[in-house]
Amino acid sequence: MLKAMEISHTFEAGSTPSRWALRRVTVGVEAGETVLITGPSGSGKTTLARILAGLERPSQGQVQLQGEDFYGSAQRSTPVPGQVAMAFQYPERQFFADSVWEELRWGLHLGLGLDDKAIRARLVKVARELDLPLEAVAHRSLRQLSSGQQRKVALMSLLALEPRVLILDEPLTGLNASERRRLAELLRRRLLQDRAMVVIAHELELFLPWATTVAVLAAGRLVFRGSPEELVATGDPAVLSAVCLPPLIEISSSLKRYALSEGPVSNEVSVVLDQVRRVVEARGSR
Amino acid sequence: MVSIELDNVTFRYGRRGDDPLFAELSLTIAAGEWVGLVGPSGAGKTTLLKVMKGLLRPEAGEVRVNGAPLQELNPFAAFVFANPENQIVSPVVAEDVGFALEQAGLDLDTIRRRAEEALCRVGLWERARDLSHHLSGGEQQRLILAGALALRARCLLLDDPLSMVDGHARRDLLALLGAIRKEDGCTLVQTTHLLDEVVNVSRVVALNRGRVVFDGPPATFFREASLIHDLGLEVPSLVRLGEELARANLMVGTELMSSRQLLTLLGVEEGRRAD
Repeated sequence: MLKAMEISHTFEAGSTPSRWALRRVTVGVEAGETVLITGPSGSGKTTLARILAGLERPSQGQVQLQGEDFYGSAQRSTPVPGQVAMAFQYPERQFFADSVWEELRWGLHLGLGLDDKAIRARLVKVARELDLPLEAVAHRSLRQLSSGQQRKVALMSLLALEPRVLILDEPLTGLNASERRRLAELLRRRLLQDRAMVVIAHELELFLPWATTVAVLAAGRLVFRGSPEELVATGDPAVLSAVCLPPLIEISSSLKRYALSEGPVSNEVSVVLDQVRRVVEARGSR
Repeated sequence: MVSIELDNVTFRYGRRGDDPLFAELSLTIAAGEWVGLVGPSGAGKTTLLKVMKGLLRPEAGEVRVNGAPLQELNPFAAFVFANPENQIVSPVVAEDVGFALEQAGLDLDTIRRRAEEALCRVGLWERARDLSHHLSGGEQQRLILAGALALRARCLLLDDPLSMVDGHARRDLLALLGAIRKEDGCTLVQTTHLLDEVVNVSRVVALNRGRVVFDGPPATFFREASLIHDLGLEVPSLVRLGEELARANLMVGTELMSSRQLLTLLGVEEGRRAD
């Protein structure tokens, strides 16, 4: 559905840049899939997301939305409104309206030209998807909402556009543990269906169990692309130094890789405890 | 060395009739402490930091810094805001680090030297000549931290300073904060949503509904399972594994700080298996 092909990008002017923010990166996502993009800060994750979202024309390479090159062939620099939507880090920092309702109405009214009745219908639907009590909060000030609710309102304003592709840059940042868990679960359960999703995250714990594909960037280059299972099985030091695996997964995958345990690679304390115990006991009995 | 005392402090947003965010709250932060300030969103963590800096004034009670009532801004404390974009003032990375030093009237050589040192410490020296707005969110947070370090502030008030920093860099920066405290005798107060950031602090203070609901060392805090749940927080899985290992007498006397540390103990080294 959305595909970035051989993307190179630099922020420098001139034809011989000394520093590439992205170098020959190819990554794509289909309907019903989630692609998780990870890597250290400064590795080019957000730049790649902006290019995928139609917000930044790449220096080289193509981005195709359903086969159409949206930077090249057409004169427009962004895809059709509503086809690809991107939530920036801390999307609630972009709020400008006084009330939740005004904030949500804005994009649908100005961007898509919908009337109030159609707007209400769409918002009621996405509020249900996100478990947000819309009636209760619609006329409240955005500042009166918890950070988890603010994040949901920001996501609602995008989802109401009914995008085919949703790009989320660090959607859990700044939320506490229970809000993180709840939001990740909502994303998994409700949002996928027939949408394609690109999630940028450096904390993988809540996405790894259900992502279709993981793409790892390091210094602008794609150093890994594969399934989560392939990621935790890799011994490639270039990939491992760019990825921050959840600690228990790191422990159990390392033990398995070094043949100290038969697995499974797990994020459960009891499972990993058992694997560690076996290693210690085997050592003691020798 | 900087100490901060909040003595029966009351603060509210809005009008007199509205509920205060906190009422008659007292908290003493001794010189050289590293305090992890935790609690649900809206508990008042950021507000409390701003009160310690003198950016917000309580309507009642007193704030004392090194024993003296705080009249203006706290001159010893550097504040790192949660959103780095609000704090970056210069288009070029190195200039941004030097900005506050220039305002303080330091000479150019000193500014250059301190900016380089601070950027090296946060791992951003190679980006010194880049444009600040080309930095990623995590790098911008490191930039703001570098600015605070270059000032040689004796107290750092850090509002969720690592929220956008990736895992490996986060570990390095937490170690850096520990070093700043130890070597420079800096007092640190840091808010966070993720409890793996408070594993090494000297003291955890938890706020909820305007009250201090916990005040003590992290190891004790981690045992307060139901309180932690009520605060919307989670004990890091590595801490839970460490406790289980200790309970099973598998790692007596060692506190588990990182997965790498456990793997090393088990004989698994990066890239090879030690036997």
